[in-house]
Amino acid sequence: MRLEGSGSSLELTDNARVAVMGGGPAGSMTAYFMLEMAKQVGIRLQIDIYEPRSFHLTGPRGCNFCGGIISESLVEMLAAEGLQLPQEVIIDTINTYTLHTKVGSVPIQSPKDEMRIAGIFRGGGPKGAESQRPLPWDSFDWFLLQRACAQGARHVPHRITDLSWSAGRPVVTSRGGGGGTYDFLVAATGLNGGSMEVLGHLNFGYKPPKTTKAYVAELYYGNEQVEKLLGDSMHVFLLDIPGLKFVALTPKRHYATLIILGDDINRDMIVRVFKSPQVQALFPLGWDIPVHPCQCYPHINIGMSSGKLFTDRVVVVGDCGVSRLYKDGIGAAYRTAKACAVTAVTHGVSAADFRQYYHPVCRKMSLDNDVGHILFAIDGVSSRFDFLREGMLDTVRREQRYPHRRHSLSAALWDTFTGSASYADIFMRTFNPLIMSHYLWASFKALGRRIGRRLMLRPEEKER
Amino acid sequence: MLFKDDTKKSQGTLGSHYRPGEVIIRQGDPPGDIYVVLEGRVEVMLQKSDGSSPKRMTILEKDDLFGEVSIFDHLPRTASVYAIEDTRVLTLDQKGFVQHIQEDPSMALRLLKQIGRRTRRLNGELLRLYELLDEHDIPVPASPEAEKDADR
Repeated sequence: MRLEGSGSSLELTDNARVAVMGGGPAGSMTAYFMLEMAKQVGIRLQIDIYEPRSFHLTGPRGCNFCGGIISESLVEMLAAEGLQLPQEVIIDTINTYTLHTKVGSVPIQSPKDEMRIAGIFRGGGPKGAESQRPLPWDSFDWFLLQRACAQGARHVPHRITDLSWSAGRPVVTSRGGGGGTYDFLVAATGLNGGSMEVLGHLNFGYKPPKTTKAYVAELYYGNEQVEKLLGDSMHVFLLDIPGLKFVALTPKRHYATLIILGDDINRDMIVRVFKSPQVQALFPLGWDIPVHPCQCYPHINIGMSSGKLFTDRVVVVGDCGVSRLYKDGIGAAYRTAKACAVTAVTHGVSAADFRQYYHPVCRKMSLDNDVGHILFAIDGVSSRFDFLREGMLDTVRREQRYPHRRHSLSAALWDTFTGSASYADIFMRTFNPLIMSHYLWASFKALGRRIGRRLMLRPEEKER
Repeated sequence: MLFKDDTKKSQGTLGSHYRPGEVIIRQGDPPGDIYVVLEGRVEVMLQKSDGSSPKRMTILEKDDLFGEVSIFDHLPRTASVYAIEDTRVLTLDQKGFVQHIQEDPSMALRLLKQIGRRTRRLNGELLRLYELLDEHDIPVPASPEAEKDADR
C-alpha cells in the first residue's frame, strides 16, 4: 500500500524495513512514534533498533551519560502522548529550584504548585549501586526501548559496525547478527557511544555537531541526607568561576547528581566548584572532594551540525544532530524524534521531505540556541557585579510572594533552568520593561547599600 | 476552591494528590488547564441547574485526559470531576498545551481519539435512552440546540 497524496518520490510502503541506529531516547521514541503513526495511516513497518548497551547495568556500561532530568514540558508532552513515566523509573521529583550565588540564595517555586520535574537514571544507576540488587528502580532508556518494542519494534542487541549503500538503499552491517538492506535508516547514535564515525561511511555530507565537555557525578548522600540537605529542590549555582556556565545539584533519592556545564571543563574548574562555599554548604558534613564517585565527562551538543542531517532514506535525530543548549537534551530528542516520525510516515523519506518538514524543527532549535548563547553571555557579564546578583535575588524574593505569576523574573529563571520554554521566549520576558525596571531598581538599591557599607567601614577594614 | 491536598506530595511521584471525594474541577468554574490521570480513578459529575442531585456521566482512569473541552470552546467547565480513590493527576498548562499543538499538530491526535471514543459511547447511551423511551411510549423531547437548528 502506498500513501497517496503526499507527493514524495520515496514513501514508506507496507512492510518497509527501518533500521534505527541507537536505542537511546531519540532512537526509541522515533521507532515508537513511527509505529504509532503507521497504525493511524494503515501501514505495517518492520523496525529494528540496534542497541548493544544493556541499560540494566550500573555505571558507565549501562549509562548514556547525562544528568537525567525530565523537564516540566517533557513530562507534560509525554503524558499527553500516553507515554506516562512509570513509578519505578522516577527516582525523585522536584517542585522547587534554589538559586545560589556568592551573595545569597533564593528558592523559586513551581508556578503550578505540584511535582512536575522527574529525576531518572538513564541506565541501571550509579557505579556501586549493584550491591543493592535487585535495583529499586528501572532505567529510563530501557523503559523507552521496551515501549517501542511493545509497539512492534525489534531490539537487536548488537552494534552497527558498518554502513554502506546498495541500489540507493542503506545497508547495515552488524557483527553479532541482524543487518541487511533497509528502506530507511534513522541515525540516533548520540555523541558518546563512538558510532558517529560509522555514520560517516555513508558519505552524504554529515558532520558531527559542535560539542563541549560537561562533568556529571552521582554522589552518594543516603536518603536522609538528601532530604535534609536538598529536599525537593534542584540547586542551581551561578558561581563566578571563569568559563563556568552553571552547576546543578539534583536530589535522586539516595544520590545527588552534580552537573557542571561550561567551556572546557577541566580538573581545576571541578575542584573550584567542589571547594566553593555555596556547594560545600549542601554537602554532608566533613565532605571535601569525593575520591571515586560515579563520574563522567560526556560531550554535549552546543551547536547544530554544519553538515547535512539527512539524505534520501537516511536521517539523523537527537544529540548527534541538534539539541537544546545546556538543558533538556531528552526533550530535544523527543522533538526531533517526533518530527522525524511524522515526516517519514505521513510525507516520505526523501531528502526533499526532510528538508520541508524535519529541517525547520532542527533549525528552530538551533536559532533558539543562538539566543541562549546571548543570554548566557549576558549572565557571564552580570556575574562580575555583585550588586546585579543581589538585585536579581531581591527581585525574585519579592516575586515569590506571588509565585503563580507568569510574567516575572522568577518565572523566566524557572523556565531557564527547567527547560520549560524556549530561550527566545525567556529573552522576551526577561527584557520586558516592567521586569527590567524592577530588577534595575533592586540592583540600584543593592549598589546603594554596598556604597553605604563601604563608607561606614574604617580605613583598615577597607584595605582588607 | 479546590480541596487539593498539598501535604501529601510524596517523594518520587509526579503531579498532585487528591483523596477520595476531593474535587479537581468544579462545574461552572472558568476554563483552564487540562489534566491527565496518572494514578487512581475520577468521576465526571453533571448537575442540572434545578439543583437536583448530580448524575455520574463517566469514570476516567489512568492515562485519561479531562478538562480538554475548554481548550476548544473557552466556556465555563461543563462538569465537575471528583477523585473516587487516592488519585494523582498531572496538570497540563493550557497555554503551553496549545503551543505544543501548534508546533506539532499530531499531538492533538490523542485528544481527538479520546473525544471520538467518548462520542461513540455517548451515541450508544443515547440510543439506549431512545429505546427505553420507545418502550414506554414517551415522545423524545427535542433538545434546545435541535429546536434552534430547526428555526434556522
